[in-house]
Formats: sequence, structure tokens, C-alpha cells
Amino acid sequence: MNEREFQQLFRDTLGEAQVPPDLRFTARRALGRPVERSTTALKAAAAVATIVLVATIGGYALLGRHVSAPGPAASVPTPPVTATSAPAPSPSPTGPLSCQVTGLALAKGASQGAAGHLFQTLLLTSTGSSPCTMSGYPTAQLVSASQGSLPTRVVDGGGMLGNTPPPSLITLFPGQAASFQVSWGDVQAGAAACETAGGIEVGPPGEAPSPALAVSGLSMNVCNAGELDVSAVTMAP
Amino acid sequence: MLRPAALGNNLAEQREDVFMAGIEPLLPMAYRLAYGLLRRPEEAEDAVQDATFDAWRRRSTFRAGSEVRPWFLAIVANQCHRRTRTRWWRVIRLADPEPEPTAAGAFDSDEASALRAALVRLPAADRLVLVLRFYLDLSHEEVAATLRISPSAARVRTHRALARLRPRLVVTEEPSR
Repeated sequence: MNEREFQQLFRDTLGEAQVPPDLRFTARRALGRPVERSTTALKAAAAVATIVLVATIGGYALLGRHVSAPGPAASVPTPPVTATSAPAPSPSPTGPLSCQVTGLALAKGASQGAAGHLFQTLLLTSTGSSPCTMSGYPTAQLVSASQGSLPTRVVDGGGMLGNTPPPSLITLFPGQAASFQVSWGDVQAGAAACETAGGIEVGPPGEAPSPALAVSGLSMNVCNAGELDVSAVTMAP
Repeated sequence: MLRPAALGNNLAEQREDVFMAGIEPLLPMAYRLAYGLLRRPEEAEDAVQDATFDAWRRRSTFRAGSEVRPWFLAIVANQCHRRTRTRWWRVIRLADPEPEPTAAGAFDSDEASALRAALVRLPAADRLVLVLRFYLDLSHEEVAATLRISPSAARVRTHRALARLRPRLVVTEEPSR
């Protein structure tokens, strides 16, 4: 008997392992609990948690307090602004305006890598002379080393960024920075091709990505047809 | 096959979600390992959960630049081993019915049932090496990395385990593997 025949016999003997479909959720949940517990207690706790969660969400929905779907549509309405380069010196009676491309600068923050996934924190610093606001998901465009646009599919709060905070309105005073994360898979899965990007151009929520807000000199292997997951902006710590 | 995972250099400092992003692709294989060792789906699932928690607590033991898969599989194997040494395990082992005989041996040959009986009697370390090699289809190198021994020692251990499993069974190693 050769190894392959033995392997077949061995597999027949043990039977096929049916990987539970919710394994990643139960494993993820494992991080937040003590070591010793029985399966039944865990499952009961999970059931209770689910009921509470459903009841809570249901309650909020009934009260009409649930947040509308995130995305560019959820960002603050941008007042029509024609001249943004010279903000009025006196504070506007309607409150701060949305941050514009011209009043922002982009910088790279920390990056982290994990198996098949990479995370890059990006910082949008206000360079204007008056406060401005932001809410929601920045826009992004992958570019090649020669600044040419590459196919990009931005997914707001997608992939590994599904657990990041939902959109909230932040106000940037001059010199303050908003932070957000981008994440991409760098392992080819299925037929979707990978592409090599040299940088990213971004835009504040609701605005198109701009070459004025770009980080270059990156070497990103972006798989899954240019999928780039983006988190909502938060105040940089 | 999944590319061997290369977690960042600072696994110890990583956040939970980043850590999980590194572990998640390994969960199906971790489950197969646990199932191969424990043969009980619910025990295997619990073992993988506990191993995930163990891995998170012991993330500082991960050596920067090494591969995550053998590191995590070793933790899963440890967790399974710990489970088989509890009193509870002995209780459920005793309550375990013999596998049902299948009709006309379609799926369960005499050879398979003899092998299953032999597997139960096999020492845990031998069983582990066989599951890694033949159920998870790992190379000798990866078996070695998981067991933290040299590849040649992994080879020897595999053959010794095979010899203990079935003294009369001769398994020839194919040069391509």
C-alpha cells in the first residue's frame, strides 16, 4: 500500500469533518470570554445574547431611532460652496462647513498585516483656518506607480472593517486630524485577479478622490478585483 | 492551498480584529485537526474556540517572521490533548456507541473498521502525527514545524506511528511527497 492509498483509507476511517458554518463567529466570540465553561452554558448565553440583541434592535426600529444605511448618502449634506480657498474669517452662522479637498492633507498612519489582509490607517489633517466637519466613509481610488487609475471597488465598512464604528459627525479644528482605515486582501481567492497599486487617492466623504490627497510609494497587492474596504472617519487619537 | 500566513511582526501588539483576521483562514483546518483527534463535532468545535482564546492569550509566544499555521495548529492539538485527559472525556468515551455498520461495506470496509479500532488504542502523539500527515495532508516539513521537531524526526515519527497502528501494514513513501 502506498501513502496515497493509506491516506484514502485513513480519511474513510475518520470520516469527513463537517466544518460548522458559524465557526468563525464562535471562535471570534471566544476572545471575549473566560476559559472554563460548558458548551450548553455557552450556547444558552449566546441564545440569550441574540434575543437581547434582536429585542434591542427591534426596539430601536420601533422607536424610529435606528441609523439610516451608512454610505455617502448618510454623510452630512454639503452646502453648495463655490469658493472654498478663502473661508470667511467670521464664523458662519450655520456652523462649520464640510471639509473640502483643498483644506485637507493626507498622511499615512500605522499599518498592520495579517494573514491575507492588510490594514492601513490614513489621516486627513485639516489645513484650513476654520473648523470643518466630516461624516461617513471617505472615497478612494487605487493608482499605479505612474499615478494611473486602477480598477477599484470601495466597500464602505466592508470585509475586515465590518466591526469599525458607524459614521458619526466629527468636527476638525485647524491642525486636527480625522483617521480612517483601508483594508484589502492580498491573497488571490477564486478567479478575481490581483493588481499592484503604487498608492491611493482619497476624498473626504461625499467627494471624489483627488490627486491632491494621495499617498504614493506604496506596494499594495490588491486582490478580489480591486476591493478596498474603508472605515468611517473618526477623530484621530 | 492557502499561502502560509505571515502575520505582522508585532503580533503581540495587535488588536483583536487584526489577530482574528490572521486566525480566521486557519479555522477550517483547525477544526479538521480537532475533529480528527476527537471525533466528536461538538467537542471539536469547543476545542477550536478554546484554542482561539489560548492563541490570543499566548500571542506573545509567536515568533516574528515564523508562520502562523503551525503555531496555531500546535495550540489546537494541545487543546485537544487536554480535553482527552479530563474525566468528562472518559465518560463520553464510554458512552460512545460503536460506529454503525454500513450496508454492504459500501463506505466502511473491514479495513477501515480495523483501522478505526487500532486508532483508538494508539498513543496520542502517534495519532496526532498521523492526523497531521494523512488527514490534514501536511508535508513532513509542516508536520515538523507544528510538532517543533526536525523534518527528519517528523518522518521517523510518522513511520513509527504507522508501524504501531498496523504492524503488518507496509506503507511505501512516494518520492513526490
